[in-house]
Amino acid sequence: MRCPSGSALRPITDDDVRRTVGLHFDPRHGTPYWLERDRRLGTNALEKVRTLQDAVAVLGLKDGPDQMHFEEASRRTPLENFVPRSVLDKGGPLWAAQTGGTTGPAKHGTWGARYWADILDFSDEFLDLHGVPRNCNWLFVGPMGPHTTGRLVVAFAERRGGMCFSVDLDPRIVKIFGEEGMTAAYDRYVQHIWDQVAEVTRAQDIGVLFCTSRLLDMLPERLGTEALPGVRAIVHAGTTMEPETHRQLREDFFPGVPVVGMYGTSTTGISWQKPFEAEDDHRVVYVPCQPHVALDVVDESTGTEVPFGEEGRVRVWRLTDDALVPGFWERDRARRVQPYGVAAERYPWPWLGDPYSPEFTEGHRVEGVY
Amino acid sequence: MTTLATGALPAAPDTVAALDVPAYSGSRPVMSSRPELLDDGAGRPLARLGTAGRLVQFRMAQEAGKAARQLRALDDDAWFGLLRGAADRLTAKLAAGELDPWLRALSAAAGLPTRRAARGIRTVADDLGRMDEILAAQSPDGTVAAYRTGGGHPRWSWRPAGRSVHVRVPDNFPTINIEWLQALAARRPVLLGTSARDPFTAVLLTEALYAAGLPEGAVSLVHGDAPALRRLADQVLWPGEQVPQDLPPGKVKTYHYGRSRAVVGDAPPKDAWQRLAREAFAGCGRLCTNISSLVVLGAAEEAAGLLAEEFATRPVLPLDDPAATVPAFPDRGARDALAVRIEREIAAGAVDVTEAATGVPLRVDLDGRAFLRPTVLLVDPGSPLFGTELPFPFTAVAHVPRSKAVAACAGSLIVSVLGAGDGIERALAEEPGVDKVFGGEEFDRGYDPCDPHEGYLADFLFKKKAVLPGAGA
Repeated sequence: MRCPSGSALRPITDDDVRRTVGLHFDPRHGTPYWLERDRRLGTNALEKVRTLQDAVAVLGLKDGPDQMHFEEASRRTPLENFVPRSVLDKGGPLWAAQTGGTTGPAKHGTWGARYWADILDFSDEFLDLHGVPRNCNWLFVGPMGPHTTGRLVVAFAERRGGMCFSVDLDPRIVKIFGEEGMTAAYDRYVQHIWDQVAEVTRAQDIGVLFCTSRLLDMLPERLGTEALPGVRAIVHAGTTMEPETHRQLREDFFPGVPVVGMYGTSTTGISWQKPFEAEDDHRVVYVPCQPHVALDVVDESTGTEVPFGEEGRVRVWRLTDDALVPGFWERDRARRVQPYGVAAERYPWPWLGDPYSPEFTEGHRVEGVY
Repeated sequence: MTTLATGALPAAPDTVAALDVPAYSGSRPVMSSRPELLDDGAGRPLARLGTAGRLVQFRMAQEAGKAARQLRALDDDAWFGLLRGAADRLTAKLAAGELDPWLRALSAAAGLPTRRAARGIRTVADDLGRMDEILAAQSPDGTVAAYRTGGGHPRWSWRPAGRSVHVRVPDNFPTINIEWLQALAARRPVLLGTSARDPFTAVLLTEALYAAGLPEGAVSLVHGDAPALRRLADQVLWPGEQVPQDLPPGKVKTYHYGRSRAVVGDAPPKDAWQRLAREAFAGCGRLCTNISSLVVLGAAEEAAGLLAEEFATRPVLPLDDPAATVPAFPDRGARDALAVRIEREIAAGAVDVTEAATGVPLRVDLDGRAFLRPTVLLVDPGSPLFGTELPFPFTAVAHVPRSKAVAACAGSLIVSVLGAGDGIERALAEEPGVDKVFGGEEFDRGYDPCDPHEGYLADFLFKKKAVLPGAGA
């Protein structure tokens, strides 16, 4: 496979950093939350942050009370506190995103029109790279409502010339089923989802299936192996996908059909799986969507990036006009991957391999639907 | 609590290198990029366990469905020869010491004395080698051919009630694996789910079976919960009494739970106490066949004292001591919770007869491991511990008048009757809540897979169908 020469992505530059800091830390037109934090911590970001290294040193959220303050504010205070006044004054649509709400009350964030458009651009780029067909219908099986993914996928389908059918699911009620040990209710809810999927696939011509990884894992078990004969691509998002599962999907259940992973969160952004190559060994490796979002994989004890090939905690930086997320410590862990293969030159910044959420893979919760 | 040996950390587990213990999709080992880690309860790693996601489980179930026909097509000599071959292979490896790292890991994970764990595996291998005898006992016509042919009755044919069976294997003692081996021997593809503290024994058996030529897909194995297998298997064998909510009642048979008791009359045989103690310590006191309650028609104090003397000859020893028979509790909190239950009864008037006989307190710490000292507790028959099965050698003893002895045994798996007279044996045999009654010289028969045990497993796995004409077709 060869990559086309143009890309909507590029490495983050110091200019990007200065521009974003200038926007969010402008004393009169900046972002209320970040200005208040700047005063509270005495960081003086506008003066001190000139480079990405400066941003890491001065702006980065500290795991603990500092990040907790940010998280709780994003749960309990008006969303406008996190948007520069200048952006609000300019007007234009702002998507009010909510996180899944599986780790507590939902956090809020925005996706401005510019960011939204950029995401759709580079998503098209990656979907084309993977050979996901255009001009066909999509079926989205995942959380709609306040969750960003549903709205994004509808936009993917429409931009690419198809309609998007959808089967909604509510990860928050599944969380309750898990915490209260309601395995029968969980099972019934999952069956309800698959019954709806079966109805849509019986009646509609579906070319692309978008599904949470967890549900995709159940697809043959619930619908059989012949349920989606016309499907020409599968896109998944959510929790980790084991290499063995990835292999089975590609080789056993959907041979010749692209199986593409998308990783991200509702308030930060998304990353796409690198183009599939044999040397991946069916591990799912993602390309962070710089310059909008950078994903570090760091050693929790030192806060520094782990060497390539090693596992650490995911830390996300979002540098966009409508929202700044300075080094948020995700719950997820992942492997830091040095770019390799056909896409290495095109996306020459660190990649992310096999991300997973420890709380969903350890302990005794009922498995989720993500 | 007492500490019989000092040292902050136990010595034995440090010598255990972490093993790779894969899941098996048929004969294919399945590890994962992020294996589950099994430790010894104190954080020291013992094994990396392969995890099998739902897609892998789906494939397992599909392959099992295909294997069913293949298993039924094998002739009896070839089939039971294959099982004997697997048993011989496993026994030879045990004898050669090749499984020592596995035994040490099993011991550290499950808290079993190493030698007892080895004996448990050897016993289950022995049973695997005589599956023809075990299955013939369960067959409607006394032959193993019936499992393949449906039997020769003119009006009905004995046919599988499912193409595959999911068996959850508990981790109390290796001999419990006999359950799924019987299902397999009955030519039923088996989808296994191991339990937290013993992922080892089922893997050893699975590897031995495939090495002996088991048809592909006849056994698959998942470590831990296997929700897809629960859904996809036609039938389920579930240990204990707490069945997952997502299993419909007709699909599942529970197994190897229950409490066993002994009724002691005025004239027990001379060696009664020694033999009863042996039954209480079988499987390190973790079996459903252990005598957990003694119904004494005469002087309960005397009976408790005699039994306690026998218990006292089996002290808490390090798990790697060849004479060790008492299990440790990998979960110290679980040990302490059990101790509190016993201590509450003592506070309410029960007598810890073994403490009097041995001077050893109930809670014992040895080499950093948590134990409960084998216990004979003299209680009132209304005590909640009278009739309760605890996972270590424990027997509650109470005086019960002859007129109430049968009622006191309701809800028993096995009732052993010693010197109590034929009348009680007959009455117990008529009691619907009693599964097995052993008296006379066979009072300590314990578990023999040729006996009905919660009924015969074959009665669940097969059903009589009217297939006319030609029931034998």
